[in-house]
Amino acid sequence: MLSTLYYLILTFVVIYILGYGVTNIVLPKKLFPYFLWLMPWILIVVLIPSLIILSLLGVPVRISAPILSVILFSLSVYTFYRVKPQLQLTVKDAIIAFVIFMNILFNIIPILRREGILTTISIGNNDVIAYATVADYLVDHSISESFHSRLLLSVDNLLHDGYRWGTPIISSFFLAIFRLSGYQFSYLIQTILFSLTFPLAYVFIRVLYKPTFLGMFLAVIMTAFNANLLYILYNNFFGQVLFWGLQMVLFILFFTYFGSHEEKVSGITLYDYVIALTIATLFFSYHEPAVFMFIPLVLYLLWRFISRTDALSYLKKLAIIGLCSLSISSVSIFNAIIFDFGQTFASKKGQPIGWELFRQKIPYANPFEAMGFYSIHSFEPMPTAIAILLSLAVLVLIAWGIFKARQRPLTVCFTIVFFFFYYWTGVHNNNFYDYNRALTYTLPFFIVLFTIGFFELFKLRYLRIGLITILIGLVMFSSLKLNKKFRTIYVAVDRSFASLHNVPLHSIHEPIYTEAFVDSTIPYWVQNWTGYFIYDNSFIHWPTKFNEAPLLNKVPENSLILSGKYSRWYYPPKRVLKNIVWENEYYRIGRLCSSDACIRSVNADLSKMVIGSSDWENVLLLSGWSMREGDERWSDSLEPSMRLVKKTPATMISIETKALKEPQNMDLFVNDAHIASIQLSTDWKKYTFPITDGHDGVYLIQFKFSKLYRPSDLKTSRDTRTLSAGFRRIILE
Amino acid sequence: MHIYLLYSLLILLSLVFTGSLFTVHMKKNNVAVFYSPWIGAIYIVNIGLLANFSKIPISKTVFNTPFFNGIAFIIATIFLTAIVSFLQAKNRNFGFRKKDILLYVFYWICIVVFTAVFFNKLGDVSAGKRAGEIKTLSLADEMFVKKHIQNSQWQVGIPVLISVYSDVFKISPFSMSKIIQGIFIVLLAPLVAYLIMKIVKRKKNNTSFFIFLAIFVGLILIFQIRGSTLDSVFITGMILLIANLTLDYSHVLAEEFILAQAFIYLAAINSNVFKLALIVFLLMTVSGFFNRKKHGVLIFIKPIFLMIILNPLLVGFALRF
Repeated sequence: MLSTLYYLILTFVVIYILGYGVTNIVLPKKLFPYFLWLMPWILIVVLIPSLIILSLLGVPVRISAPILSVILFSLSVYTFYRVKPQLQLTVKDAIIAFVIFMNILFNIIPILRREGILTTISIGNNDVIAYATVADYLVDHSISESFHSRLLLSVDNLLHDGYRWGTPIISSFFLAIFRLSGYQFSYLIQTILFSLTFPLAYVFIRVLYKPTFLGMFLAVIMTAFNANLLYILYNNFFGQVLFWGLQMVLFILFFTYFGSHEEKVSGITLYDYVIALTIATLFFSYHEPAVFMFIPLVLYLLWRFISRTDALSYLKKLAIIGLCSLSISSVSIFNAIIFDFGQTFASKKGQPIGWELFRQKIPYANPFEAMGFYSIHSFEPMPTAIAILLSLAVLVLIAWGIFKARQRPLTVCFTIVFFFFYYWTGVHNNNFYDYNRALTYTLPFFIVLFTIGFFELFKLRYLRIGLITILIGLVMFSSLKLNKKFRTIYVAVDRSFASLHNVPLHSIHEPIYTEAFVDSTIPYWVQNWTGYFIYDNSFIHWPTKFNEAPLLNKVPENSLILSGKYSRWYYPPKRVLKNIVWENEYYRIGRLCSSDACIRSVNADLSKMVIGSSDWENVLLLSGWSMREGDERWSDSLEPSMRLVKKTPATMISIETKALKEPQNMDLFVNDAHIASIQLSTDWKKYTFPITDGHDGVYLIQFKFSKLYRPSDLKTSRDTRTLSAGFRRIILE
Repeated sequence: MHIYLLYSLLILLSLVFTGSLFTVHMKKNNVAVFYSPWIGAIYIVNIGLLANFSKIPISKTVFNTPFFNGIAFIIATIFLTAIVSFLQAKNRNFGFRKKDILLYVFYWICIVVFTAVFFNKLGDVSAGKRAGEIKTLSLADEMFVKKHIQNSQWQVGIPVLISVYSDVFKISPFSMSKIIQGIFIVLLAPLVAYLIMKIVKRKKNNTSFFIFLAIFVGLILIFQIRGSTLDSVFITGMILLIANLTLDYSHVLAEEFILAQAFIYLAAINSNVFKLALIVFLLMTVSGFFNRKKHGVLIFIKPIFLMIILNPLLVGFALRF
């Protein structure tokens, strides 16, 4: 717990110390009143492109991070002594800082209360493995090196597919400075960046409207505790978390620059450089939502041409910014155009993208739900009439906010484009997943407009305070419900995984097979994180040899295998391991004993398999089996096989089984001899067959089924596996 | 044959147009029209290289669309550059002078003659072969598949140029390599001539220039007949261009940009020559430090920074391999 708080505070200290000098130099003078809250983001938009360019040049973060830190620190010291300090703290800033602190605690409660170590947690999504692995990789290797090296799959995806290097490399920077591992920092950095985003909502309100105390309070709480945004954070969608911050920075820059007298200054200005750097950071980090930021600018250009409001100076600036961004991040921009084009038009209708439907009935969030007043993650849909009424109220407030905001034409352009995306994803394509993405990309913008509309419409002091209390209460209630769910169902890189750090990998000079190679039904979370610690971004212990024969275990006999002993996340299957080379209370590494000869020597009763109560299921099952479900296990193949060991000659074999659907014919073979052929029914039934040529030793038992059925096709469940028959027990007598 | 001569004219015009987007911003651009084809070639190739590192081959389209290929990205980037260049240009002087019209015609005739000469020769086989390869498989994808790196893989400065124009005109890379050779051998001449004139600090004199040119073209012709590769032509061209620009250096952004691009292009042809040129350039920086009257340290450092920002991947490869 202490280590988490220590690194949390340390990260803030580093961000503000390193960001001070460069922000003084880079930030346009007009934005100095917002210095405190823009400082972390200016540091990020300077750091990410710098680190990536150096990494593309071949310099790993281990080298570039200290160099950049020294340069940035020197700048801070220099500006602190040479320039009048820009920081002017107010009560509002202190309140925002308090909300930041509370928000971070709110989001890391499971780490503080239960895990007790600095680590990563998730509400269920597995994406974070890529961010952690790539962050670790980039500390010691460069992006340039990755272009011509063999990479683990988890690293390959972020580095080679999307060229989204920004998110992992900002983690790498802190990992290199703090000497931490990716799994320790990946969630914490996201919560920190998220908490640094919502002060920008307040800054944006000041840009568009005027400074109001209650406005600050409402906008900050609505952004910080919006259940829709928190859900993205809890799923570790790091790119999107970073995007919110960059998006707000871009809004602040666009709305203070375009249409102002600075826009008419010829040549390249500080504004142009900062906008170009932010755009470059966006493309380096998470380019999917880039269109949400740039199409409105084109629309605005059109408006400026039509309304004849000095379109040429705006066009000049757009072109300069475009060319500067392209010069900095051309590789990512080119790749993004292709990548996003493909993703937009290749996605199938209703294709899930990392999360399940939150609710079966009307999963699409209406405006009232989108603002976070009613959680789509925790509650069933409201009655239609109430939903329409409340949604209309929210829309009216947003419209009023647009009407009263400064820079109305630009605001309208963004609104038109955002609403077009809602229509396109939700109504036209009817794709909930895309709709929810579009919605969460654009929410901070509408929260700001909602706040402005609210303050313009409700001017009576007590009415205003009363309504704000209700709205904040609704937002907090929804976020608390989601947070409770998070605390209940979250998964973590807990002590059991972290204990794998102690495996003496340097003294093991052969491949180690994790459980994922033996049993593909093990949860992805376990597969990913055991692989993360055992392979550690190298191929030294990566298995390359596998058995080809279908009846044999895929992992060769006598190979080193990592096997779980105890886990919070699954029931580690029992395996026979010899010559244990390392073990602790959670895991052990030993040589696999899987051959017939080897299991015969096991001192246990292996003549029967009662699903759910036999210790050695995974040793006895060979191929064609799905995961265990309580006291039954289904075969997902037409020809499943297994084995049993009998110390005395067997005379009978009894089986309790049922079909998913009739007709289902089952042929039974014992040691290649055909024993029986029966029609299974859909009820559990026990069958007993005599064995004529029994002997002591291993019995190979094979089944042949006539059909495979899919439960989802039979409308019995949403299960999409193809299954033949279920089993409860198979016993040799 | 005559169609190839038309192609050479079109190539030349496109290169001059692209190069002029930069030369129009140069402080001393009275001879910039002779630099612009080189600068145009550099820019086109560098965009092509960046597209290649972004997994976009030169001519093969991505996602079965008719437009998503390297050439489309090159055209789009040039279009954006043209907007910026025209909107920002303080004058519209591209370095064309009516009194030099005879000179331009002379160069055009030379190019025609050289192209005709080279059409009966073998051409640069290795460059043509590599140009054919990168048409359909990007450098990045090639590296991801092979998982190792060789200099020949990324030193594709000339093949990219051949590949682009062979795809635009739908002729074989081998034929295009001969046209390119014809054009750029002739375009070496003004670079040498202007460099010598700058060194001997003579004002431009057309008579002496023509005499010099005739000798030079003759020498190149002999040189070529004995068989030289496109590499040597472009390496010489880049060094001459960098030398010319450095002697007239007035550190406006466009010139820094051109220098940076020229270094990148050199890196994409031969990493050893690139390193050597970089050392010489850095030595000039050091000398600039001691000779503060003319240049400060940062003046020469800026193009190097720009070079790293514009294509760090290629510069990194060239420095390390």
